[in-house]
Amino acid sequence: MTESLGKYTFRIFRYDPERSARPRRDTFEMEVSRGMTVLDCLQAIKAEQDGTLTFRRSCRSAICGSCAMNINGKNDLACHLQVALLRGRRIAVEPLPGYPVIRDLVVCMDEFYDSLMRVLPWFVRKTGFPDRELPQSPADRDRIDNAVNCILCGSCTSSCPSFWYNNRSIGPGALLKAFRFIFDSRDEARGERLALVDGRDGVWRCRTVYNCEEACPKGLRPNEAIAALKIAALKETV
Amino acid sequence: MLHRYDTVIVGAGLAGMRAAVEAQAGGSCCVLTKVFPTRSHSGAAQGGIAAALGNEDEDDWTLHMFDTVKGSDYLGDQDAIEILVRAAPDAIIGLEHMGTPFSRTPAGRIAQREFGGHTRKRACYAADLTGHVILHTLYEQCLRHAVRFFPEFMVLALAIEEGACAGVVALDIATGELHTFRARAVILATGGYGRAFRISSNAHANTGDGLSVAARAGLPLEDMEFVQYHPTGLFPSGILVTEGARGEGGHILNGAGERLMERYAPKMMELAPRDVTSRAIQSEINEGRGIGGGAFVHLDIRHLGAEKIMKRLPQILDLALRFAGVDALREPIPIQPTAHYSMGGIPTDNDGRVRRDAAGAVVPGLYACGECACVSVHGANRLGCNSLLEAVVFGERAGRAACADLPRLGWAAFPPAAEAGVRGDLAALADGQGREPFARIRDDLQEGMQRNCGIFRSEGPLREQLDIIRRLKERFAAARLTDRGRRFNTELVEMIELRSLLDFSEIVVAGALARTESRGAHYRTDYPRRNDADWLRHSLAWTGPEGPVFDHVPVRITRYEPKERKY
Amino acid sequence: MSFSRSESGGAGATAAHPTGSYGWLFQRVSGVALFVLVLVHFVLMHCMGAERRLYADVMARLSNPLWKTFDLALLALALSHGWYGAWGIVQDCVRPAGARVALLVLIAAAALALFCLGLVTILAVRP
Repeated sequence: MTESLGKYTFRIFRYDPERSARPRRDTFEMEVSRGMTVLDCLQAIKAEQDGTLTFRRSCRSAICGSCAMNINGKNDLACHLQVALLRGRRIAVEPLPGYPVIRDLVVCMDEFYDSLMRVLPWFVRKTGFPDRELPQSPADRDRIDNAVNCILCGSCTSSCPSFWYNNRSIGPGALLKAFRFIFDSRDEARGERLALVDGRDGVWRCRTVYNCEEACPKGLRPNEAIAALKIAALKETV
Repeated sequence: MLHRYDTVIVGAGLAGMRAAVEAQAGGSCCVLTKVFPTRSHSGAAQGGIAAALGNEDEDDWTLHMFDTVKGSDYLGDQDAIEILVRAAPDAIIGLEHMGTPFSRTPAGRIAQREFGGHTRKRACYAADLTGHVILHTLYEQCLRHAVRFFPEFMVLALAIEEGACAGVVALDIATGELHTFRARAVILATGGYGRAFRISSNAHANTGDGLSVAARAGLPLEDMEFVQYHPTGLFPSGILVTEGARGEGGHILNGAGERLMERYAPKMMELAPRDVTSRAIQSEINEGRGIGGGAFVHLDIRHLGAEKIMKRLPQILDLALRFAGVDALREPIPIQPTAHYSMGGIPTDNDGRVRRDAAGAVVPGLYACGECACVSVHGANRLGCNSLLEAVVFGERAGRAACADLPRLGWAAFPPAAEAGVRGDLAALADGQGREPFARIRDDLQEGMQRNCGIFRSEGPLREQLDIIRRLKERFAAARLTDRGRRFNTELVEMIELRSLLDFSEIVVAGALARTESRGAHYRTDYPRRNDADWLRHSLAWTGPEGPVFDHVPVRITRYEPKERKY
Repeated sequence: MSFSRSESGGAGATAAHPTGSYGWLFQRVSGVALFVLVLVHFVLMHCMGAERRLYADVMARLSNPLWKTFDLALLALALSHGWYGAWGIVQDCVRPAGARVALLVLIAAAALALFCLGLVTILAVRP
């Protein structure tokens, strides 16, 4: 398990406005062994070579969504990406595109979090509750499986050209959240939520570029969800 | 900067956010959290949340209670356990009514599966992402109620004046500024401390900061020697592989291909409680019966079939492939025991009020819930699925108690030097004159705790570990902080976290050394039997200048007298 | 249940932000129609004896009211489809409000001019 894979070079985006207004890229060399993830390498670099290297991380098991970043041109979670699976020995690590950088690989995701607020991101029930759980068939539960597995890492919205061009665009991450409720058989705010995503900055901003599906580290299908939302909105209004 | 809220909640996992949903109804309320709420480690809980709903098996809260008491090796306080298990069904229904997308039975009810130590199908689940879906649902509920969050705020000190809690001082990580939060009620929900060990299922963030903050404020910690090792951590990283894999029928195999639990728990086999199963696996490894004589055994789920695995254990499939390079549909998964959960914590009464002494006097205005608290419902060993339940039930109770107490709680005088004191602390941290990077100190601590205070403990190694920790504290005082920036200084954060680890690790080890018996997750090879005559009691530990100082509290026994524990 | 927080946000369909569903549907329907119309037009003009075609042949066809309708539909759909597509691209990509409005006016003017030119050409032919 500790077989060495030899030396790798990490070229990492650096930005610290306290020291310089200009971003730069630093190069670090390190010995990588089999089983090491990109996050393991970033931690080793921080511990041994440069303590000022700044990135978010927490669970290191691909469920908290803290360490989403752009690695060799693709948005992914640093913690679940094995270095051995990357092509070449030079690895480019950049912050998620589309969000303002706070420092190094840490971005400000307020726009992403705010976008969630635009789709009524909580369960709504108007007709009251039974004493027990609301019934739901396994098939109805499966309908939203894709969407409830979202970890809000922000990779999809970060990769969406519609969001780059126009940050009022709701973006695939929040639209996936909208899907999660609109297609939940127990939820009773379908109409309100469809109206929320039916505007000019909602589903119709999606140009089916499919970047979001490419970028999702969990293999979810935001674009498929958006397509379903478009059809639902169409049936509602036309 | 100064803020005023009726209730300040520290931590945004299940317990913290459940408390917030409750507390927001009673006054102004905010949540401080070191990581963005949905990044809390509750989200990594996989297998389920226990409640005697009886959706798949006949079940009853008394059965749940007995399983929990027996699982705790009779150290759990039975009045608290009764509260927990009786509240469980309503707590789950409450979560479902908030929208939690549980998996379903064909009849449309919440699905339940088997779990270690539970004698019925009792674990309500959402595939193997149960913690994740509940965490996100509670975050959504907090948004619905417009709960104010301060994400990436790290609490550094509790302000306690004349015995009452007046608020907290916190670091805004993004700007490096200190903020003072005055509050009538403070609820700590800061989670566990598995990061003290090298092999751990815990997030990097799980460094027991809340425990350290409480201990530094002169409060005791309870039962800290009880650390749960989860039997199935992925090899080599220690990442969690849910007990649900065994609940669905997975087998644990040793190097000879035998189901090793036959030797250790012939009745419940793989579904024995975690302390028993972890010891069994570690024994096999120590005796050379690991796979190829190595430090791991196999978890085999292949016989469950691809459809069931992909439906109920999709995350395990993904984790095994990505972190161990194993296709769990075709190969067994390499596993090892991994530090997982802290039974001990900040002592509280049954409503989350923090206890300050063995007599049970409480600190006005201070509450704790979730893994950082010790009620104690888990005693010496927690059953799987009871931690999410505890977080939800006691999170709600702490939130409600804080609300109910507000009229009685004034605005305690805020110690004027609190913020200055923290500023001084930070300056001292940054001031190390040595050359040693502190990451090495952390590595040495984790390595030592793993080796000397792990599944099997005995006097010699525990004494050695106490020495190691004392030496590490000296090295820490001289360690070097290279990052002098204010903006998002994660090196400073890691250094504060290491200080927490050093703080409570000493209590863990000293407690393990003092407890000369074997009970639940605490196993002494030199005292291999449970000793109810001397040790059917909780430990309370205070940090003193010469090391931890102990006192003891009797266990509250209401229904089930201690018996021999067999599985 | 309170919806107060969502009312401020959302990309909701209101008078100021009309629903995009009609436009989206129009683009799909006109796209399919254009596929048929353009295919017929292309085959007619470039495959079926294009090398021997005379001015008179074209005039003769255009004097047929059915073909006139065909060409009018092709003209109207191509320009509106193109206009809506260009409008979307400009909305997406051009951020300064002034430049966006100017560009949209320019494209609209060009579309209108082309439409008038086509209209005159088609209607001018008398049987």
